[in-house]
Amino acid sequence: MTAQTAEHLIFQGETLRLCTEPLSHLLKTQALPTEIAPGGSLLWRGYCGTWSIEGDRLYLKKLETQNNELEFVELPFESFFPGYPDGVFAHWFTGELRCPRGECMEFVNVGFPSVYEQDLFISVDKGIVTGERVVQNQFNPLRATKEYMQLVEHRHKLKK
Amino acid sequence: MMQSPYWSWLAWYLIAGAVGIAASVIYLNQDAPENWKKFGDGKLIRNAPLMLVALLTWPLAVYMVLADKLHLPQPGNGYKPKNEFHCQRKHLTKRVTIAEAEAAGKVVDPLHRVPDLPFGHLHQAWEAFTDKRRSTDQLWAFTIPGELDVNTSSRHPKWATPRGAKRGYAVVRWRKVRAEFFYEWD
Repeated sequence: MTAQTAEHLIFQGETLRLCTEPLSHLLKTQALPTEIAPGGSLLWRGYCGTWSIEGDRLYLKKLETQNNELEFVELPFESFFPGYPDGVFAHWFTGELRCPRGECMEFVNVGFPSVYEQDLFISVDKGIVTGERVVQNQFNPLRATKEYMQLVEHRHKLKK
Repeated sequence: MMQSPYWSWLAWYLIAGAVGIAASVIYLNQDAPENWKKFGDGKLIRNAPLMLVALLTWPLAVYMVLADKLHLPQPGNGYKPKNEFHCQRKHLTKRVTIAEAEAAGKVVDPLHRVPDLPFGHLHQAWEAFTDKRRSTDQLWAFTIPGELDVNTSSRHPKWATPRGAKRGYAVVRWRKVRAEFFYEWD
């Protein structure tokens, strides 16, 4: 079990971590021209998407994967969405996008549930942004040990 | 030698059995014409002993073969076939036509980053879905509501909307979902 590499969301000029996978169901149900192979332990889903909110709409801009050296390598976007090199409108997604911000307060080594100082939730309805809210997360003093914070710092370095 | 009436009854029984088994095989393979090639590859000869047993016990054989498709009670330990669809009958909301679904599925984007086709980037999946539909099948819209996350742990994300909600269309035949297409999900 390993913490997963987050997606990226470009929102109001800032690149945020995105701990939601808007593309996952489409990959399961839609026969895209190119398949995405599962990745390593940090990227089970095999891809990392870069999304952006332009105007009030959510777009998928880029797809990347990780090589053996954990470096991001761009996947040919046109092979997945022919004719749309500048991105695709994510009209299939309705729900919330979760973007953790700030320092990691509690690291969880599985999936996306690590706790950060803040969570930005962006509400989306059929690809159109309808609202946003910010949640301040509580600090758990039981995990404020020196050893634990060193582990968190080590994990951060691995992700970079 | 007097002709026994039992021989004529047996003959009619076997003829009825052969007709019944042939009709079942045709019914089960009507959606998969590629299966017919297997019969030309000697499948009939290899399965001759099994077919002879089936011919002699044809009422039971026909019932067992069709039981799953028609959802009839089956003998045994009450095993039920695995439900392969997310959409259940309780999720069905409204019966629609193809034209109504496609009109509702039109996607507009001012930056033109979506095809001008019903359901946009999902159009290919929509076409594959409608190809499975027979003329007598019904098309229903469905909504799977998802579940509200009630985990109040301090380390758990504070989601405000139900997770796993989905919307789509289902092909319904004989009151059973036969295919599903999702156009919106969390």
